[in-house]
Amino acid sequence: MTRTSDRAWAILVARCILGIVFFIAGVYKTFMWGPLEHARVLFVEPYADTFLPVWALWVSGAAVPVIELVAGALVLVGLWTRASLVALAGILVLVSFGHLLVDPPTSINAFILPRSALLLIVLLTPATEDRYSLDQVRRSRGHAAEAAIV
Amino acid sequence: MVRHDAALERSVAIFLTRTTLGFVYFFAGVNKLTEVGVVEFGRRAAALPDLAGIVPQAILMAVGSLTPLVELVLGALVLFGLWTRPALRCVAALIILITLAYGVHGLLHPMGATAMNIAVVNFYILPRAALLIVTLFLPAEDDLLSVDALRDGRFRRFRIRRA
Repeated sequence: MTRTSDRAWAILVARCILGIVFFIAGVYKTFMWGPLEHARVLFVEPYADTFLPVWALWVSGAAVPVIELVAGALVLVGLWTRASLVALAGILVLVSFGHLLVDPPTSINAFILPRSALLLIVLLTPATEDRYSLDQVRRSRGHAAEAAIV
Repeated sequence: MVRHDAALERSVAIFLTRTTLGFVYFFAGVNKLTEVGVVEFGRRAAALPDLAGIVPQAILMAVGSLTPLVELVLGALVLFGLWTRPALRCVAALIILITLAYGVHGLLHPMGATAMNIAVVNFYILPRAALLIVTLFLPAEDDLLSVDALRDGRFRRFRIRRA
């Protein structure tokens, strides 16, 4: 029962909850809703009267579900975690901007801030402390291969 | 002197997060036992329409019946700080499984743009996860106000150093 493995469990909880939340949202938006329908309902129509170009609304609205699906799954299993977290952070910033452009400032409290908190917990802890992840398996194999070569 | 006071402050911080988390699980178990009962909770789990056709009734009944007892025992262990770290790891696994279950439930009965029930995520899962994460991040050796600290002599050594 070391301090490192306690921290690894804490990171595991934050990473899994974050991954599940984004992955489920991605599955729902991609397969049950459809990226284009998602873009039309949540991006194009609500922002039709803003200065944002329509093509950008279509592109970002269609991309968000797929990024949530892929990055959510990768964060959940802990594979390419840092890159996936950066992608999800990009979505959180994009969605924050979108909400604050047309909604009151408190509109980001329920969805965006809790997810940002979880994301920051994982991102701010050293990657090597995330021991219960596929990245750790890859790191261990890399070290074993290096040792075998030496 | 300053070092010992800092250690005491950290132990109070751990005590706060650990006991709050312990109370949450302990009383969740107590409420299920007193208001619903073990057998009835198992019956309700076995009758869940989404799972009834997929998971065998006996397994649903067993899981449902054990849930209040598991919450009660884990809550008590975390509350008193006995076998704290293994108990916290069990709570961690429980929270991840429950989040996954609510995720699947969200896909079967979508609510809002993210499918998952936002009230469940924000008011049920995340506060418990936050308490758990903070407790796990704080060093176990600083958890002085616990049964574990009394058992392994940590509290006594701290008092001697302080004196």
